[in-house]
Amino acid sequence: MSLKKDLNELLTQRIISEETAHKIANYYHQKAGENKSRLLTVFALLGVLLIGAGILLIIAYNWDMFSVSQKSILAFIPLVLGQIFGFYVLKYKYHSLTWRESAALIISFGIIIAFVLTSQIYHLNEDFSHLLLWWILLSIPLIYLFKSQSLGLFLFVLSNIYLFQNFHKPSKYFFLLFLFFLLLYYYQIEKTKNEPIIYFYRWIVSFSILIFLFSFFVNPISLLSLMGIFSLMFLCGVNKIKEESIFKNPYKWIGLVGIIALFLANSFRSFWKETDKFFELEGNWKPELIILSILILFYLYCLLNKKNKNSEIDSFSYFFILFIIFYILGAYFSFTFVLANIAVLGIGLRLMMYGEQTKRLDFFNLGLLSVLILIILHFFSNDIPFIYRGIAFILTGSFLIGINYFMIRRFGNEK
Amino acid sequence: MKNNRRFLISIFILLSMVQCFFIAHRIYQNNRVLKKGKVFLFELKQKDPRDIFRGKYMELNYKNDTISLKNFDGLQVGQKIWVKIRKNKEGYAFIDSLYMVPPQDLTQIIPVKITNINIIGKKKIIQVKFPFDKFYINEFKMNKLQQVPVTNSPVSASYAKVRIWKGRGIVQELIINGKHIGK
Repeated sequence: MSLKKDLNELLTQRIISEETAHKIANYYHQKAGENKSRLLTVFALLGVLLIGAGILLIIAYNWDMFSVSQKSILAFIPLVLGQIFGFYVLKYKYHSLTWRESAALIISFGIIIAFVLTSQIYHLNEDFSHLLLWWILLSIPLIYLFKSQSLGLFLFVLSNIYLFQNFHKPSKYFFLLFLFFLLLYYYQIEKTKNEPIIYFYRWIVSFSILIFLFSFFVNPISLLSLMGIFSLMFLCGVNKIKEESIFKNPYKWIGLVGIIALFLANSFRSFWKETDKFFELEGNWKPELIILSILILFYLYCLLNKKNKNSEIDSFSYFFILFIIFYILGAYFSFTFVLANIAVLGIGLRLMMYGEQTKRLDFFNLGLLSVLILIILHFFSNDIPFIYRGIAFILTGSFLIGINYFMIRRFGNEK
Repeated sequence: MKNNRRFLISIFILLSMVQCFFIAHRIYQNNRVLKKGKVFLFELKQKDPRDIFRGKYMELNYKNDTISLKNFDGLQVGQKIWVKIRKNKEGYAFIDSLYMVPPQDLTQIIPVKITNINIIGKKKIIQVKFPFDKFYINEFKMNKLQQVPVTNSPVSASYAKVRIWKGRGIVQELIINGKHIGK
């Protein structure tokens, strides 16, 4: 209503022509329509999920008046109905987001319903992760055929559940296969960038990759890979994504915090004592080495292909190279932990300077925090009397409050 | 554009066939065991009602789930092994022999998991878990069954009728205290 009022006012004041006013009104009308259809999509998907869960529960009642063969035929019905619906959507309703998304979800639910029913009919004792594997594998093509973003997100979640259930088993490598196809799809929607769902994707992608690396957390190479992933995330978050906030751009912040955290871990002497064993590399470490090599190649590719060559913030991603050098040094010299301390201090000061220059309090505070955490952690690890520790804590705390107060006032004044 | 869609639809039909094939294959594989498998009666020790989203089911514990061995090393709890099933005098199934790798002739063979190893004197008693230890039951029947304890007298026997064929075993019927429970 207020738009109409504003347009009328602009028209009477002769700021815009009648044609422009018409165009503007049209534009907002269309936009409202898009929002409505998006809302419809959300409710349609929620409906499909509820109906799917309902059918599963009805099946769980166990209809024992049917014979085995009758039940076997029944097992197909939800899937086949879903497929017929999917065929109809592909043929006649392909341009409607709501129809496509629902069809993909319905077929995917049809698959799991059929699997669950068959395992009930024949009293099969299977791991749920076994069913999950087939559910995901048979559903992945659907996200490409129907361009279904919600099913893609759903499969990301299922893959993570699969990984959690197979954390210490060799079957967890299937997760890599899922991840490959899901990331390929994710890359496609990241290119178009016009759906809000992309933010959820960014979070689940970060989560999936990190969890995967943690499941390998058995030898030093995985630690290097973790550093590689953090650096890559940071590079992508800075160069490829315009958004700044932590919700919309998790890559940048997870990457940065991860880089600092790994250097902090390296700043202890005891950490490097453990690493003596690192270079013996016992056991099966080949898959980790392959992952690391892929990461390094990706990292170099991203570093060479960044858009703004002289961006200051990019310099944090170079710490990956420094980290690798530390590892090589750490094998021969015992003073590497001192270098790691200097590195954390360097990152912290660099972030503070950057935050100060660009008037970004978040960067400034992250830098400050990393320096303070470095100090605090080392006060815990050394044999320092309590009284000095207490004084040091109070001083750092007051420093943190004071400098923030000062910076907020300064940034505020300049704005 | 239209050609593109036609391609998409043909891929989709192919995918649908693959999806249906997997379900059909599961049904065929298990149905074959029910049709062709040899019948064994596995005597029940106890039952344990459970509940998951696939439905209510009984966890079945069998009486003859052990085999005693002499001088047999290299077995661990949790390991997967293969056992040969035979019938005893009363007509119930028992474990006849044990294999580390699946034998050539798979008749009367099923894969099991070792759950416990007891050493008594020179003998090793190995307890296993059969793959067919679940029985899905209608939820209203289940509520009645929960109070009934398992007995094993000649008049009211409790056992599972299992079909075994080529390394697979499926429970066909469950009889508790002489009463037919379901199939």
